[in-house]
Amino acid sequence: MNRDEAKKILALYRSEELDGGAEGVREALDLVEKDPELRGWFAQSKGFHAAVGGALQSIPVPADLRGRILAGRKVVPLWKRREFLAAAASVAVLASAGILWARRGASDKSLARFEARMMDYAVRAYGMDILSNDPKEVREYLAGKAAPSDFSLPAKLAAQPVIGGAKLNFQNQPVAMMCFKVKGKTAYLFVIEATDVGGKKLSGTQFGSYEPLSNAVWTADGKVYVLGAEMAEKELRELLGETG
Amino acid sequence: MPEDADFERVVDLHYAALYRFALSLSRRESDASDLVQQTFYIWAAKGHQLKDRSKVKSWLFTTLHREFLQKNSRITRFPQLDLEQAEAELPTVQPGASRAVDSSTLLKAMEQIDPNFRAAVALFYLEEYTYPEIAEVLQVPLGTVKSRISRGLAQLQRLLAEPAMAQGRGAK
Repeated sequence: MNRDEAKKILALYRSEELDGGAEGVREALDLVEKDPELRGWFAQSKGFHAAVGGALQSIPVPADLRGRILAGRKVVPLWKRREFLAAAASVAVLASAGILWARRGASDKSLARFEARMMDYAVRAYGMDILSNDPKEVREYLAGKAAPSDFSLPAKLAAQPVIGGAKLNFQNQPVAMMCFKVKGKTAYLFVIEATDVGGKKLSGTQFGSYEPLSNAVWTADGKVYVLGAEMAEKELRELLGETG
Repeated sequence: MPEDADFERVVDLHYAALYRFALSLSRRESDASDLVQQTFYIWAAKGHQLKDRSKVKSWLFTTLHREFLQKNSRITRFPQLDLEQAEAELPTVQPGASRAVDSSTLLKAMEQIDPNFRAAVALFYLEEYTYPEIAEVLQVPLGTVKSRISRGLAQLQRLLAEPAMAQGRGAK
């Protein structure tokens, strides 16, 4: 295989998980290890894919779209639905939405509420304000927005590629979001000052799931951390060095 | 009610990604929103026919793409070239192309690439689909998918390397 042939194969290479098994990839990657010019080209190609992918994935979604989708369901003709009381079901959906919004409006500053709200963002793939592979640049952005920026991370998580971040709010308090690419998937980390969510200190890391994501919550250095990622709990534990 | 909860769950899992896919195709936020709403309307009506629930995501993306094509029937059928026939247009990375790009500039550039390539490129990036999965969503052969992605990426890289072109003279 020569350099041009390797480029043709690797031009469409995104990650080991997605494209590692494609024909010729292994041979092309071996050539990358031996050819400095090809290595430089490949780094640029991967950077391009990361930049474009990140930009597309950060497109903001209209805030009212979800509500419109859910409200629009009730106009499906009765004969197409299996529910006997379609009107009652629509009322139930709207009533549930009303209760949900009322809950969101309540001044529940508990850690549990923070966790649920952040995982809501992660499940919906909240868009990033800044796209960057440089964690320092992301932290500087967060600091500029008065969001937590000097947080510490478990070693394995800190070693993962950063793809960007955003500043969010929880009950009018600043929240830092930093995103990582872990095994081809986006992992969402949310950080808030512990005093903004009741000051509770956890004795260890708590694991759970918000389908389709697994999540972890821990406290350290006066901050609360929530991490959500599309991976099994076992992998999340390994990522956080919690294999015990 | 289980079915309402199931519908809401499907919406929560997929509506954001569907919107981004729709916007990369249509460029107008209102059109993209309409496409997503229409897709979930169809899901509400026909989703119970899908027996394999692991296929929900591809079903939704396929439906949205089909709805987009029906609304934009002026997009002519594109000859299904295999990758080997598209070799001359394979992307070569431009210097500086790896710098961060904002979503607005990217969408303007996407609008200018051939509409027949746009869906394949969007799926290549948005959902990190494998090539067979993209082929399934777009209902085209695997070789055609790779060809469309290759040619679409080549156009996209050229556009992003030329900021004036990426500003979108023909933006809607």
